[in-house]
Amino acid sequence: MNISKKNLICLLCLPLLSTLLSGCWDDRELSELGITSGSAYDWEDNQWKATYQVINPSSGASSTGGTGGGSTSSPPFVTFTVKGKTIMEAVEKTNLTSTRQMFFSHSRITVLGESLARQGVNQLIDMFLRKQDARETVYVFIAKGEAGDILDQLMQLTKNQGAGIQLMIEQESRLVSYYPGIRMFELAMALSSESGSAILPEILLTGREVMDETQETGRTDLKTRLALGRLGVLKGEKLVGWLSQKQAFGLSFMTDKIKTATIVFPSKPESGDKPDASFVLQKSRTTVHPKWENDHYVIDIHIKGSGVLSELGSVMDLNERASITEMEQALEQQVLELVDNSWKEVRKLGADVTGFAIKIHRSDRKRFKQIRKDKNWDRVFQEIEIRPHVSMKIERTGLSNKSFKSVHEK
Amino acid sequence: MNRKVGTTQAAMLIVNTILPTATVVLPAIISNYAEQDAPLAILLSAFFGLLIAYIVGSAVRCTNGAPFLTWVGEKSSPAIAAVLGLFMLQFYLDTSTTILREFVNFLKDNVLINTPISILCVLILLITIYMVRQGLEAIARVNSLVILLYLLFVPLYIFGLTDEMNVHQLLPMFDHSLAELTLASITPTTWMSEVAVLLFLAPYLQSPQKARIIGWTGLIFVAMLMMFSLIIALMVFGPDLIRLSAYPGFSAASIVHLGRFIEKLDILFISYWVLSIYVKFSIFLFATVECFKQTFRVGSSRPFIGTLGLLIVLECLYTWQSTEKLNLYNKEGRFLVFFLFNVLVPLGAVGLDRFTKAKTKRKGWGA
Repeated sequence: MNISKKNLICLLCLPLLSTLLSGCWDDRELSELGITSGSAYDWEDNQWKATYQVINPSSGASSTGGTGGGSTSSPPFVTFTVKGKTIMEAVEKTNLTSTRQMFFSHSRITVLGESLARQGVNQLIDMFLRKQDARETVYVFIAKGEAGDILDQLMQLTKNQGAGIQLMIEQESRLVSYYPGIRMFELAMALSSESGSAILPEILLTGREVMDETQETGRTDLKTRLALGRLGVLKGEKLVGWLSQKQAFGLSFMTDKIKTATIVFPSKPESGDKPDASFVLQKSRTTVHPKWENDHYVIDIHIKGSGVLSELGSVMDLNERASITEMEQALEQQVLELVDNSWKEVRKLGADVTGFAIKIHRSDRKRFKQIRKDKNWDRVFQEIEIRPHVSMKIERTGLSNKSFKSVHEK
Repeated sequence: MNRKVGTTQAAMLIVNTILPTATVVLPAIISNYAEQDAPLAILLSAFFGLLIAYIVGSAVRCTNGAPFLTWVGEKSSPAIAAVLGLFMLQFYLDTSTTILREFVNFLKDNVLINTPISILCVLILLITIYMVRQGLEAIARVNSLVILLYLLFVPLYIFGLTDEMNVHQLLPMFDHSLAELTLASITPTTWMSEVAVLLFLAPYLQSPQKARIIGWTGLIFVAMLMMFSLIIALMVFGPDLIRLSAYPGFSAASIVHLGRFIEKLDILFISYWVLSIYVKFSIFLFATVECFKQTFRVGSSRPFIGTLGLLIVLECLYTWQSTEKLNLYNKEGRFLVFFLFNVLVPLGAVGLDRFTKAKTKRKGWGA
C-alpha cells in the first residue's frame, strides 16, 4: 500500500463532502414560496387583520398583462385574510391555509384600512423596517373602508394588481401631481421628522361590487374600478383627517412636489369665473422662507412655474402680450386659491404636513429648539401666517395663435 | 511565499483594515450623537486618526521594519517584550473576535437567518486561515482587487440614489455642541486607531520608512469613504430615521434603483461588503499570528494558526453571544482598550527609541 499523503487527505475529506448534500439552512425553493405583490392591514376586534395578495403562478399572468402558458381561467392572484394579535402572528397563520410560505421581497403596495390608521401605524412601520424580507420601498395607501377589499379587485390592463397600483401612483405623481406616492420609508421619515405628520393617498373602489372573478374582467367597462381618491393626513401615528384632491394639489404646490400638472382656469376672469382654459404646468419650483415677526412665524412661499397653454374656450388673440398676461394673472390667482384653501384645511387639522417645522429648524434653530423644549409646536403652528407669492409664465401657446371660438366671432 | 508589500498596496490594506466594520457599526453610533452633523464628527475623528497614524508611523520608523516585539526586547529587556507581547496577543485575539462576531451578526441579521452561528464562524475561519497561510502579499493583492471594485460600486450607489437624495437633510449644520461632536467622534477614532496594525505588518513592507504616508493615505481614504456613505445615508433617510436603522448604509443600498428594471440591489452590496470584511479579518488574524510568533519566538507560525483561530471562534461564540454587550463595548469600552494598545504602545515605542538613543549619545560623550 503506497498511498501518498495528499491522496490520503483527499480520501479522508471525501466523507466530509456528504455534509454539503444536506444543503443550506436558508435555502428556499421557488415552488414553495408564495410571492406577495401586495398586502393590506385592518384593525378589527382589537386584532390585526392582514390580507395578502399572492401571485398565482398557474394563471399565466405576467406583470404587465398578456397571457403566458398557464390557465387563464384561474385568477392572476389569490388573497389570504388572517387575524392575529400581532402582525407576525397573522403572517404565520397564513401557513395554516396556504401551501406556500409568504415571501414579501417583491411586494409593491401596502394598503392601510381607516380603522388601523385611526388606531396607529407605528407597529406596522416598525415591522417593515425590522423584518429582513419586508420591503421598505412599498407604496403605502389608505382605504376608507376595509383595506382587504382593495386587494381582491382585479384590474384590466395589468394582471399583477400590486404592480398596477404602483404604476397608477407613479403616473399620478408624474403627470397629475395631486400628491406624491408615499413609500414606507418616506412615511417613516415624515412621522419621525420635526413635523411628526405625514400624508397617504387614498385608494378606493369606484363601485360597491368587488370584481374578483376573472370572467368579470372580460367586460369593456367594469362596474367597479380601482381609483386614487383623497389624501389621508396622519399626525403622530394616527389618521386625523382628509384633504380633498384640490386641497392636496395646493399642498403639492406648498411642498414643491409638482412635477407636471394641468391647471384649469378662467381665461377672462372679468367675464366670469367659469374655467374655460387649461394650462400644462411643465416646470414648478417652490421655495419656503420662514421668518419670525413679532410673536409668530410668517412663511413666505414663492411658487414659480412655467408651461404651455393646451386648451382655450374664449375669444382671444394669443399674439397679444396683454392676453397672455391676463391669463398668467388668472393662473396665478388659481394657484393662490389652491394654496390658501389647502392651508386652511391643514391648519384646521393641526398636522404639519407642510413640513414647516423642518424648514424652521433649518433656518432658525435656536428658536426651534426652544419651541421643542417647551413642547408648544402645535400652538406655534396654529399661529403661522403664510404669504404665498405665485409667478406663472405661459411659455408657449401650442399650435394655434387664436382660439377656435374666434372663428365664429367674425 | 511572504514577499514584501508595496507602499500603495499597504495603504489600501489600511483602508480595508478599518472600513468594513466601520461602515456597519459607526453610522448608527455617530448619528445617534451628532445627527446631521455626523460628517463633522468624522472629520474630527479623521484628524485624531492622522495624529495616531503619525505616532504609529514614527514607531515603525524607529523599528525600521524589524519585528516589533523583538525590537522592544532588544531595546528594553526580553521580559518586558514577553509581557507586552502577551497583552498585545490578548488584544489582537479580542479584536479579531469582535470582527468575526460583527461579520456573523451582520450575515445573520441580513441574509443567513437560519444558518447556525457556529457553522458560519467555522466556515469564515477556514477561509481566512487559508488566506493567512498564503501570506500578507497575497492578501494585499486580493485587497487591491477588492478596492478596485469601488469603481463599480460607488457610481452605482450614487446614481441609484440620485432621485432619493435631498441635500437639505444635512441642515442645520453646527446644530450640536463641540462636546456632542467629540462624543460622536470618540468611537470612529478608535476605529481609525486600527492603523496601529502597521506595527505587525512592518516586517513585510517594502519601505517601512514610509509607514506614516501609508497610514495617512489609508486614513484619508477611510475618512472619505465613511463621509461618502454617511452623507448619502443622511441625505436619503434624514437625521431622524437614520438613528433607528442598525445598518443605515445598507438600508440605503436597498433603495438603490435604476429605472424600474434594476432595484433591490442590497444583496449585491452585501456581497461586496463580505469580500472586504474577509480581507479585514485576514489582516487581523495575520497580525494576531505575527504577535504570537514574536511573543513566543517561534520560527514558523503555520502550526499555530488553527489553534489561534479556534480560540477566536470559541471567544466569538461564547463571549459575544449578546449583541447588546458588543454594542456597549463598541460604544463605550472600546476606546479605552484601543487607546492603550494602538496609541500608548506605539507612543511608548517612540519614547523608548528616543531614550535609548539619548543614552547611547551620553555614553558616547562619556567615552
